[in-house]
Amino acid sequence: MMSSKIGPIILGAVLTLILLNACQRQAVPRADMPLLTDTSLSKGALLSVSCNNCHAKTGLGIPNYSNHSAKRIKKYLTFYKTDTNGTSVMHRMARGLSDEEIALIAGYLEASK
Amino acid sequence: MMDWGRRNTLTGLATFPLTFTVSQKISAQSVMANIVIIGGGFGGASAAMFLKKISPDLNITLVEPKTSYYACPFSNLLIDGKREITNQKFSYEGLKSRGVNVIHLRAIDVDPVKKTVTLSESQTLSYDKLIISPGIAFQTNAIDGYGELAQKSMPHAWAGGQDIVRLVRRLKNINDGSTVVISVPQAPYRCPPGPYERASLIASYLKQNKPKSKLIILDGKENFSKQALFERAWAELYPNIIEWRSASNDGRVVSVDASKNQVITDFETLNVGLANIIPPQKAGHIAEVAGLVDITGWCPINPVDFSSTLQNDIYVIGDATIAAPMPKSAFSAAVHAKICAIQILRNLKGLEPQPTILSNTCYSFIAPERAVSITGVYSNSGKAIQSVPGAGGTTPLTATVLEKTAEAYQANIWFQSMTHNAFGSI
Repeated sequence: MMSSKIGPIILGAVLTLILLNACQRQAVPRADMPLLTDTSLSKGALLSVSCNNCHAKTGLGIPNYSNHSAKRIKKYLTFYKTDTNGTSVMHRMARGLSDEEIALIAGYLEASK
Repeated sequence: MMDWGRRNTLTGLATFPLTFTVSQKISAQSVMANIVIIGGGFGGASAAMFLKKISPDLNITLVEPKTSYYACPFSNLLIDGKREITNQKFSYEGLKSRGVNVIHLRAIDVDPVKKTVTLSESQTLSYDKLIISPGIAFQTNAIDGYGELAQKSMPHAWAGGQDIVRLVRRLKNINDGSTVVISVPQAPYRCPPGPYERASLIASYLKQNKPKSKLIILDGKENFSKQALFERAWAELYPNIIEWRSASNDGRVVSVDASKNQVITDFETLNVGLANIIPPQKAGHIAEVAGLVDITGWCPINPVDFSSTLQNDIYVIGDATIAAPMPKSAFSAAVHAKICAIQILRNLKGLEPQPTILSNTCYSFIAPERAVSITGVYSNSGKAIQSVPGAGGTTPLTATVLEKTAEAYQANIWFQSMTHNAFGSI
């Protein structure tokens, strides 16, 4: 019982530390043009070029993933990939991605926040 | 005019260092590069915006003669009357404010050996890498009689701009009981489902305003994108209004007579109230001038980085490319643009091109507030772009009205995101 309550707290703390660490490794962003540098030419960047065609940071209705962690993005994409009954655009897209590609996209989107 | 405009030759245009401040994983060396982009549509504007975003110090010049861009996607919604042409209009100020040099002149020649672009008014730009996003040109001589006069009275409204306004005005002026014709070219052409979206919205208008009228689609093909979804919608929403004729069922338009308002197929002369003639297409003119076009009239590219297979250091993106099975769409053009941008920077840094997964999503309105969609997922790891098996597809035929309304909402977000990424506006 104890561990089930503490578990999420520890997980949250670890994720926060990972995120803070990731943020510190990023260059200082300029206004609305973040300097992505080392990740911007990566395979993760290439795999992610379609995403903001619909998920641009315009504050509109389709979920804006810019505050999502890599873990959360990976969870969603994996759900879409494996939910065989789904018919949405995201289901159709995610079925074309390998688990490794999903992980790279999730990592890139988190790093490029 | 700025200083550069008065100079006859810009071959000395400064080269800027491309500095990667935190690049431990790739390389810490800076590179020098001038990148020139010809064409300010979804492909060219997205490429300029994206390059500036990932490498703010890079020197980017966008050559586009027009000072405003009128988007094709969503333009069919003007037929309904609730959408205005101003909703289609985008300026280049967003790109300029982010540091892109936007030159509103026409590119009239490219010298791939000297690596220069000649502009109207005889200026010359030098480049290290040239991205051409030329869009489409029309093979107007493929249809007898479709000269300048006919292009005005039977507008294709297929190249953006304000032609759609002229088409809508003509539609509103037809008499009830008229025949409206849409002629669709053989593939490949820009926006494969576009003519059928237009047909749906014209039928919606006719049903409400000119109920005795009918719409005939004369098609140069035997089948079309999202066909089952469109045909279901037409049967449910516009019964007895739309007639679709395939190429083998006398759908091929041979000629038009604008003075008599006639559209002529192999076996029939149709007297029309309005004709929307969409001619066969090829790559935009500058691609031909630059020697980027093959016998098909389109531009062959290396799928991994969109470099031309015919010229060095020139990349072609968007509708002009041979990128099938990816359709010629704004979404595809934006994907080409961003992949090409990353690969150019990788090349400048001495890194090998990196294959990836590409995708496309297009929404089509079947009624003013209902849409259906098609998605494709592709790989560029082989010699040509290929569909990824088991992925992609369309809205299911069983989709409810609520789901189609939700897709119309998603389409709106798509449009706003796409235009934001290209032009910096919301």
